[in-house]
Amino acid sequence: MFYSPLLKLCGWEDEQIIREKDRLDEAFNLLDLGPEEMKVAEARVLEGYDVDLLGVRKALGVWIGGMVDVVLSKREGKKLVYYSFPPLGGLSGVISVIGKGEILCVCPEFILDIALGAIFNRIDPILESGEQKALPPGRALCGLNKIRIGAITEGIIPVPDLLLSSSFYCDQGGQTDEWLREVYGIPWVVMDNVMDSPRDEFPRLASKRVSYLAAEMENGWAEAASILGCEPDEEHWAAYYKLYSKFNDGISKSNRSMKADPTPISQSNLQMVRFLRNGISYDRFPEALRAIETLVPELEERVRRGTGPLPKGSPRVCSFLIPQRDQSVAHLIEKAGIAVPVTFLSYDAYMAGMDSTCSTLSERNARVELMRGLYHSTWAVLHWTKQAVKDFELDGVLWTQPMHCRPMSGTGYLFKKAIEEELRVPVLSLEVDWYDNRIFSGESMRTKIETFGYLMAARKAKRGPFPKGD
Amino acid sequence: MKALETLDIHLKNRALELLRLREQGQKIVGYYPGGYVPEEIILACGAVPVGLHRGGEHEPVLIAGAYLPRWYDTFIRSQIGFKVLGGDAVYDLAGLFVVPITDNNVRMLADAWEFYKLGGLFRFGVPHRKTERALKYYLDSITAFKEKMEEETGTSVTDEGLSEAIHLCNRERELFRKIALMRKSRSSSLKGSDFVKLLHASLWLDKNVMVETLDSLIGELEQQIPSPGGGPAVLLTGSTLAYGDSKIITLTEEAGGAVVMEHFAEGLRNYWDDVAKDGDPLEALADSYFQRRIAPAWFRPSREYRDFIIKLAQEFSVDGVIWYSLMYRDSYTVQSTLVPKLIREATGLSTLVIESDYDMEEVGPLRTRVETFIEMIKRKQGCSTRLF
Repeated sequence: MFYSPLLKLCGWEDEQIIREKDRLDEAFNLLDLGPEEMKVAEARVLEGYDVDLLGVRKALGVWIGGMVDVVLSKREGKKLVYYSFPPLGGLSGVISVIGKGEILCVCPEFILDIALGAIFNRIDPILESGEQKALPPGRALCGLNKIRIGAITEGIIPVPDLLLSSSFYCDQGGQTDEWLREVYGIPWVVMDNVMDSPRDEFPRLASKRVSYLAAEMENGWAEAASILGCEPDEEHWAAYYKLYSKFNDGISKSNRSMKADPTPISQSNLQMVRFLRNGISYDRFPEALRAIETLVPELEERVRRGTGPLPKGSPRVCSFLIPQRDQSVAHLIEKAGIAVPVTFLSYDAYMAGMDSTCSTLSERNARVELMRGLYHSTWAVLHWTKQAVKDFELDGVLWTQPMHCRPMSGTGYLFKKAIEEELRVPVLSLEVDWYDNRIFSGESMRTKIETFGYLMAARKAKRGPFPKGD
Repeated sequence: MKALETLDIHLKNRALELLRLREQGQKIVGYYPGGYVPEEIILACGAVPVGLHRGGEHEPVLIAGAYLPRWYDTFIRSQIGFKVLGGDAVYDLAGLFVVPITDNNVRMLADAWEFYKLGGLFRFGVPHRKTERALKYYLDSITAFKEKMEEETGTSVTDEGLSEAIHLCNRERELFRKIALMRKSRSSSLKGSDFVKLLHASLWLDKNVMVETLDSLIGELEQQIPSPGGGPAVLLTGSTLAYGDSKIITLTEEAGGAVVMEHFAEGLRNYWDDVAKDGDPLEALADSYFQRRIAPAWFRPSREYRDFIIKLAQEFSVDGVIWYSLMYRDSYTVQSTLVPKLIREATGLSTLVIESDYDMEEVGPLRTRVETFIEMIKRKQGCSTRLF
């Protein structure tokens, strides 16, 4: 089978390849991925990822499996639910639990961005299609939404039975789903909130925002349940929490291992594993769990041996998210001798615990979503970023400022000033697109990143580790 | 028209007047236009509401580049630019800036304003869906705003004071509606650019002065002998048509088109509906400013917004629709790929989508596009005449 070498490289076992052979044949045929494309993908995996780590390879394999699942879902008679990124309130997870085997609930653009983009390098035509249909080029619009529209309109992924989105964090996400609803008549469930918190509010949460979001989530669950014909009960939620908390435990352990010097893994590789939580369906989730459970001891072993992609003593920074469509920016950062042990998104994964004082499940979920910061305010994101810098005793911040993401694209300016003034560590704000590298080139950033690396190395040599100051 | 000449004088004198009012101890309260901040609350506290809505100039956009990346709506960046540049009385004198937190662009304006300490800021929370709990949230925002204004001015808002302010603002709305509806006949000598000037003036001038001006203008318009004609009737819609951003309307009129109706954030939404005079005044404000307000593009869903534009186009019997939005205002950018198509399907009208970044270099290409659009409509009309 022409795809066996790639799948084995990505942690698939012979037995699984044989078991899924018919599905793989059909999906790769639909996606027009033949022997040549498999060779390209193999080369990209070998070049872009830490293939010495089986956990990383397995995670790549889960993304490919996830892509196969979504492409075939309708042909296999499943109901299909698409949620948008970032996901809100656990609803997507619990729908996956209820609909095990019958409902596929995924974030398709995330799956395609990694599987078809990062692994196969075949995402550009989909982005272009999204631009032609609804999200015109040159307006700094989000690549994830372009992928969603492009992939559906091109028939690469099926038209779903339900769309789930937030109406308040990202305007583009809601607009994208509404466009799809208008064009295809897809039912659409929206959950609202208002991000009107003043700067000094966080980490306090205003009760009116918690209760409004909780009520919207409650309503969203009810609407989704009535459309899908199934209602989540406490058992479903318990099953969801059980499965996903196991994954989160693994993520927490791997995040903690990043405190070691040297860091045991490149952040971009770890991020790819961590994002499995945000895109993959419940049916594929046990494999995601195996990937993280394989990775954790591998990282612990590297920490014991004191090995990693960069030498001990390399300058260490925090970022928001490493562009994942290809690994060039991540490699550029590492080649400049800069380690990224933590990102805003990885840090929040274990900082926002469940609050046992909440009276309802929806209130608890609302509190968790708001405490994570992204759904709270710009200031909450700044709060956790500063906390990460202190907690990881970092030498600086290399902020990937996304031009396409309106909730986040202003943070580069604000955070640079705030962090440099308050924490006295240097901040480099790099203007990138997290999901679309047609409009920027990693190479064009080489000088900036290398200079930043030299600067931090010199500072570190002079002042010693954080937080002694100059 | 005499009323318009008087209006110009009032506008010219407004800066000095605001300065005098502030010296007399009155608070000047700036607000972001868009139809979600009830001016009645500001008036009931004895303060002076002024909409910060200048735009159309390139320099403030450039200046704002030091504070925000260019990936935000041009109007949003302009507000930072005008404030930083100084020299505009409205921006300089407003001690508090009230920002309704609506979409990502407006939220970032508030964040930047607060972060760079450009002045006092009040975030006015606005939900994105019309539900009972969203209305309750909006009502809570009104209450918080009332408390903030009481704290700022040291004046308690009474039901009586609020009712008076509602009465005054309703009167202004009523007059605006009357003039707007007169434009339906196409025989009105009031140009679209004049009406937009009135709308802009209403965000700056004293309400009583506005009422007086609108009243006398109506008198003048009623006296005039109807003169049917004019070029193709155009509905102008989109995200923001700021004070100073006259390019699109001027080009349309110069090309021989007649703008007979416009729907932007700072226009129609403010005058289309009255605030109920009976019942609890705060609840009446919430009902009018949120529940009955025509939803903008960033609402979920935004179908109400789209349906309303189609209805406007039909009711005003326009010949074409120009969609004018600003760069990087995502909600409107996405809608611009859908709404013109829906308008064409529903009405058969011609549509033109224009985007601006307040750059002088845009004018030449825009002129060609607008002239072509108007010419195309004229030919279409000529063709229809011959056929039928």
